[in-house]
Amino acid sequence: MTTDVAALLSAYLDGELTADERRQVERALEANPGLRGELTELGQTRGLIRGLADVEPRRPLVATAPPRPPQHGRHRLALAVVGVAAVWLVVLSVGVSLGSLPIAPDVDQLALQHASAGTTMDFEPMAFDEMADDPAVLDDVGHGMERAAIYQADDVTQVRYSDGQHDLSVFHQRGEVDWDEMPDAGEMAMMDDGPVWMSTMAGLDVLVTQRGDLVVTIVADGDMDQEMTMEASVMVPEVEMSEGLVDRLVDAPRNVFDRF
Amino acid sequence: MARRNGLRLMEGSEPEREPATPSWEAVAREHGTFMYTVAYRLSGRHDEAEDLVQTALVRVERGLGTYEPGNLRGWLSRIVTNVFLDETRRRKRRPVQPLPDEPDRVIAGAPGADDALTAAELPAYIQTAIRSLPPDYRTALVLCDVVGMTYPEISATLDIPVGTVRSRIHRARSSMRDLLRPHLEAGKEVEQ
Repeated sequence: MTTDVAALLSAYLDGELTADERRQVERALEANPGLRGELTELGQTRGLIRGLADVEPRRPLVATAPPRPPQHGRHRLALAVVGVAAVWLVVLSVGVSLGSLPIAPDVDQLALQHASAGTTMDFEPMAFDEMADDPAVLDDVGHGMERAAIYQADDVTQVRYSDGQHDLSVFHQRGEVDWDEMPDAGEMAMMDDGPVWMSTMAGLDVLVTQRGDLVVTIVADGDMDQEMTMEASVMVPEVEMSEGLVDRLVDAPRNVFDRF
Repeated sequence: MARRNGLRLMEGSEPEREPATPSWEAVAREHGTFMYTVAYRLSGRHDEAEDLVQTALVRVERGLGTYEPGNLRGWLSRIVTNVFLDETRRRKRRPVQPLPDEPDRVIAGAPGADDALTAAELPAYIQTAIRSLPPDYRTALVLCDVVGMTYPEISATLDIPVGTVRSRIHRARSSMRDLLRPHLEAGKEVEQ
């Protein structure tokens, strides 16, 4: 009986008992000093929790653009990052060709393509309308870096972002990074929950990472903050293929919710 | 149902007539601290709380079109809580390796009975204790003692029977009591 009544003490404190239950508890309290002591402690505990102050956000929440859901695990980055990244899970229908071969992106060519501002012979400019269904083509990657141009060469898509002063290109292609074949001139590191390959070539910062079934290569102007480069890499959605499904779920990219 | 006392966060959400549906910016400005408080009490970490509120605000923006004015803070609490629980379930499917906390956020282990926490340290210790609770107990406790929901409201928010709400809150408080016992005032009767 005492054990049963003890389980009602919190609800008694909160005024959430029926009249009969309340009488039952009060009879038990009258007869049992130990139970009264337990009630006292629970009440004090409740008081300590309820006495906690409000918690102010470290950064303003209101921005000039509608909010965007954060990248899962973004906060795991070792570096102090700014802005917000989105994670979208895209389920594609059966029949889409899955490129799962190991790939070592030709980072030299991609860096050249970035540096040439889209004039190397393999890449063709694309209209956004033609690429609207590609979830890896974003409106922006934060920090005022907005989509400026799209190019495509075979199975590699390049989206160029610019803030008017700096440019950053995001190349993506289906496949899995062949980490063993990445050039020795770069270095491997762990970011978020996966490996990245990083290097500097011809004054450009290059980063290669895996985002779901996409091999993503970021090439950024060398005078850009490296944190922005790393953050841009996790802005790209994790595109995953799922066999047997026929529904396509796409959540269109949204504007960035700037946290600053 | 008797009105709860001393729970600031639900003040202003009583069913006095709400203005027309606010914009998400207005929600973020006027209720951002409230949402962040709930998110922080649930997660125990500022970076996680920020992510939770970000995601919650997206859902707020999407849901404002169908929101019927009534109890805005209750609605916001439900959204933040559901985002937290969704994230908890996602992590169970895909564990992540957390980075160590920033040094100034590392909380020491439970102090012994002879160790006195200062008044400034106690809130952080209480938060650590809250975070040590299993997510199901934690959400029930936060909705009750931080947000100020009644048991039926918590039941509706978490989609669990009222009996389960009772049980979870009692177990959560009992665990908290055990952790906080050295800091409770011996012999002081509680006001109900």
